[in-house]
Amino acid sequence: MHSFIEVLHSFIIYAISAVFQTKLMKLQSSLLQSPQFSKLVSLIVAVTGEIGNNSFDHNLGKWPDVPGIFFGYDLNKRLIVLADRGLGILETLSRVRPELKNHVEALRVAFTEIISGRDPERRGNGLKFIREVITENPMSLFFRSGDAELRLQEGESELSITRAEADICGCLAIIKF
Amino acid sequence: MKVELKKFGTTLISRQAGKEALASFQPTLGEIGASENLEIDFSGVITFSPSWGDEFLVPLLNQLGDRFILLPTDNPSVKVTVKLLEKISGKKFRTG
Repeated sequence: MHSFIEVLHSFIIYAISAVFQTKLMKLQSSLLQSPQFSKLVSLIVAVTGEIGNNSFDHNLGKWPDVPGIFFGYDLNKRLIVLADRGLGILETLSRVRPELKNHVEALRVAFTEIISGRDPERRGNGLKFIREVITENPMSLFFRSGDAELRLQEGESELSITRAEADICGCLAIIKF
Repeated sequence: MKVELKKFGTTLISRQAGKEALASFQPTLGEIGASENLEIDFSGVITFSPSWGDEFLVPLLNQLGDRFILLPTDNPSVKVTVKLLEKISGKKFRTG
């Protein structure tokens, strides 16, 4: 029973962006209390914020089924997880890049090219920021959208994107630090 | 004129918050003299992201050009964000 309640507590969906911002501030406060994270706090919070806010910004009024995001973290395991059941990168970018054929191509464009799924508002450049931060700091990122999986870590200039067996709805991000 | 960004918050992340900050700053912006510089002070800011910066810093850069100055900071999230915003906007920020 105890473990069931723990699992239940760890699966909290934040349907409102403002609630996510509040929980993000709580993550920042927790990180600031741990001296070992002091050099990375601003970068960890900025990366997490960009991924979470992307989910809200790109899916506003278009959530296919469940609105909002999952946001959980365990500082002892140095792990942050975000997930949404939104449109995903391919469908979002297809509006401005209709030639994109699959999730792998879409993920590569999202992490490398200055492009926006909501042109001319210039949105969507947070993923380039995330790539820069991850590759230059002791952090790693697993990012999945559709059937495309991206793995990024410190010192890796080339993107590693592979195709998974199954397709998922929306995006999943796992940040380690 | 010097603006302390911490007055808008210490965690400057979302696009919406950046837009609101710029809107609330507009009346103050109107008080700046025609040849006066606007300096942005990042001290006290803990986290800064491209979404917030794109909504606040880039419009001010477009509006003020060389009169818009970013003061030095050691905050890594500010440094990476400014670099990306320069790439996106195709313009360089003047630093103080």
